[in-house]
Amino acid sequence: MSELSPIELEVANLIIDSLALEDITAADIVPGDALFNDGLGLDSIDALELAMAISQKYGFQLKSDDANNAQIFSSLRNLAKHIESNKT
Amino acid sequence: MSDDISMNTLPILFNTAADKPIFFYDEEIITHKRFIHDVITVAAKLEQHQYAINLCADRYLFALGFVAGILQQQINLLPASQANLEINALEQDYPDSYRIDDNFIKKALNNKTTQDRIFPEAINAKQTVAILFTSGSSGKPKANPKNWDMLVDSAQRVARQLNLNSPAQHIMVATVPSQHMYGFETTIIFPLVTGVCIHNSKPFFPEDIRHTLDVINKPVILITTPIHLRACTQTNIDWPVIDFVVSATAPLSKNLAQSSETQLDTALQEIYGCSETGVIATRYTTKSSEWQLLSGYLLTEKVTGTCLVTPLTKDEILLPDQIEITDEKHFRLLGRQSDIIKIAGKRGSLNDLKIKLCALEGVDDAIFFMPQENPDEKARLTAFVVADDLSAKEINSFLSQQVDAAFLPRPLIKVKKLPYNETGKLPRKNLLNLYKQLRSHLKNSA
Repeated sequence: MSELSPIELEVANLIIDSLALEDITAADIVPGDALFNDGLGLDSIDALELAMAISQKYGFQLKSDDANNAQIFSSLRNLAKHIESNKT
Repeated sequence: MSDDISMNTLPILFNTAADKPIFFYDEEIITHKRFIHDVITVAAKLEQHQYAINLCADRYLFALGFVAGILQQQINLLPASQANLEINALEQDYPDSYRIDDNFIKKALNNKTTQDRIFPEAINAKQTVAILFTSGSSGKPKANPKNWDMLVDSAQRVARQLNLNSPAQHIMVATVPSQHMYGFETTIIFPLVTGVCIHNSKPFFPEDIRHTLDVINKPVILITTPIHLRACTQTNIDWPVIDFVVSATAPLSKNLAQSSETQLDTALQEIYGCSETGVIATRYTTKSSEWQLLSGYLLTEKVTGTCLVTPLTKDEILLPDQIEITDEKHFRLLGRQSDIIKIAGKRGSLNDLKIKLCALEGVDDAIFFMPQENPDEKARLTAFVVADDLSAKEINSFLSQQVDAAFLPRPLIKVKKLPYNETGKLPRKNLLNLYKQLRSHLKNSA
């Protein structure tokens, strides 16, 4: 069982709900592990789906030209951090 | 422009006004004159091989690599995916090939060659300029060679049917890769043949699209897909003016077409086609569910399915979809042949996926299927796997080496046995029932 902060737990559940990852629970996501490719195996369709869910829930838009984009999506921990500092 | 391209040579660039913009390279405007200059510079730096695997992400750099290749009689190979395995396989099949990418072309551009070469007024119309690979999980990707005359002819017909009266007045922004037939035709062949101006970017998130449109600051034509349109309509963004939207890769529902037109305050046309044939037909989705064939194209019913005849193809081409011809110029799409699925513009065979998965030691039985029936729902494959000693994670990591990420099952569900009926078949109804049972079970236990 991995230790998730409240915001990480919230984002983990958002990922699971918006991507219909029914076979895993928030506790299965290791906050430092990769979300895409080898980690949860997410791909670009998922990134779009996730962007929609984030804009609806947190009121800001993800964009590709963010210099830290690769880092933002690299793990649950980084995504949660990015959301926390950008949400409106 | 003449319809008759039975002549032996054709120009590469149809619009010859030197100062006419043809690409936006980020914020820089590239005129025909500059484009020709850059093509000649790049051509001098291409390696001497019969084939170049064009992996450029930037459309301008892609176009330079492509046209410089034409000058060198070098054929561009366009892989269906950028997955390393796929590119490696391509290199094995085409030993006399090398890779070109954004960095390669940028480096070539830095090279100050003397411009002693003259850009040809025309080339052999039958020159093979590119080979596109039909994606998928269906075994080896299928090669679709394209001669220059086929691409030119199709682009001219499509431009007419989209009502691009003076294409050179338009700017296009596209969310699709240049290596895919839809992106290749609209963003690489279109500017050369019709004079439409293309932005080099490939915006991904809705906010990226808005940003690109803002930078251009003129009405554009947006070349995109149902997946992006869904994201754009569900995101609260103030859209700049969009002339019209073109969507392809999978049919749009009337609902999504309607909400796209309303929220983006624009008109939407859809394109239907495939790698084998390029664009075949278009429709104004909110006005008609029927597709209108390109002028001069003909559909015929055969025992094996519906075949297409175009003015430049000698053989009939069997289409991968079930089609109902309504009259000489129109048809309805009834759906994919049942084994063939399409995700993110990539086509795959369910049976082939199953064969790949069953090749993994420890997998006793498996089946892939697509539970979603509504085209607006996100299409995701589900797999049931019988494998007592392997975890879902292990199975998935094996699969991810074998197939494009779009075909990875979500979810991959381990079961004790597959729901065969008494005749040993796996009817869709049984699969759906099991899927619903397991889903509610998973939800309850989560």
